[in-house]
Amino acid sequence: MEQLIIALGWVGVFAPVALGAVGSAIGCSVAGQAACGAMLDVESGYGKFVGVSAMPSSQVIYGIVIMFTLSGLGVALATAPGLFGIGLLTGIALMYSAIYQGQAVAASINASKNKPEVFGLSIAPAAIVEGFAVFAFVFALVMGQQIAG
Amino acid sequence: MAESAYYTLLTSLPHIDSLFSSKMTPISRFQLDKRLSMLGTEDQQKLVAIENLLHWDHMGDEVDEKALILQADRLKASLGNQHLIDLINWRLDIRTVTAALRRKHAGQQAPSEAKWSYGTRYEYIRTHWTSPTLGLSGAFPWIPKVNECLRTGECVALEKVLLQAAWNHLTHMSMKHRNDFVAVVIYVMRWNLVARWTAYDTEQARVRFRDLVERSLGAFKDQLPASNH
Repeated sequence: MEQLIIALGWVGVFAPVALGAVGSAIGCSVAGQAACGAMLDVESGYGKFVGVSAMPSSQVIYGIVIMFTLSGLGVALATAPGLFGIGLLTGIALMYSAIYQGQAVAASINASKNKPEVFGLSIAPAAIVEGFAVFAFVFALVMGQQIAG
Repeated sequence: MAESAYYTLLTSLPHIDSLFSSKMTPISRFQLDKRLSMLGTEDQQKLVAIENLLHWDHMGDEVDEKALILQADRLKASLGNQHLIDLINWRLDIRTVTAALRRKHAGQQAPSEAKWSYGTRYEYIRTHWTSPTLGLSGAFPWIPKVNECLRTGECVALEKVLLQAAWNHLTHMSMKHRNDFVAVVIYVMRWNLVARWTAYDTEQARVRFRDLVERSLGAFKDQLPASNH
């Protein structure tokens, strides 16, 4: 039983990176595909499409920071349940936010391709999704400190 | 084809702004076909089958209605996507309703055959034949306009009403389908509406009409007074 609890603790430590990476990969892929499609239809402004399609990559970076923070607390019987809960749920939040951010970015690329003047505004939904990922990131760090305490 | 793989194709297609104010299609058929080649083989086959069913240009003057009904049934059975089937049914229903209204206008009785057309409403229409709107004014609010155009003989206005109805529905459906095969089909159907509207040519129509009249008259053509040729 103790071994299982320790294993779950490690799952919690690594989940933000693993799930964040899955989400970022899917999100960047979707946005990147939209960027490639848009490039076939426009004569200029390719750079901004490629640039914005990298937006969902931030979630895996948040995951890495959380992983180092949580692993710094040490995986022990006392900390493992807390690490598992915080790490897994944060990872899920990061994964979904990256996937849906990718879709929001794809919609933004599609809209700004047809109407370049709305480029800035069309990124707003993707930026709002980013905000939710930041919430999960910040509060994972805050709650992590309570495990240590 | 994975659902996410439609992003590239759909964003590569230019936006279709409007129907009646379009002077030309936003992308040529050649370029559209090139872009559609991004689809997987199965999707391409489905799209070709859908276009073959919905567009009669390739059929010539003789249209075998029973073969069309059979073709529609086979296609729907092979699609395996309820959203797509609903979309096709809706388009076929427009055809059935229009055909019924034309028949009624010509003074014909309700079809005797149970499966006289395709879509989903043919039986309902047959049982509501006496109603001026075939009992479908709720589902198809444009029916009174079509009746009015048929009564006054305004063919262009009638065509516009039907195109507008199809356009409105497809625009509505395109809001629900952004990144799937249905979205691709909707785009192609909208493109076809624009292509049809922008291809209307008065002179071509006159030549075609004259050709049809001559073919119908056949051997009797020479017996007509010269002024009627």
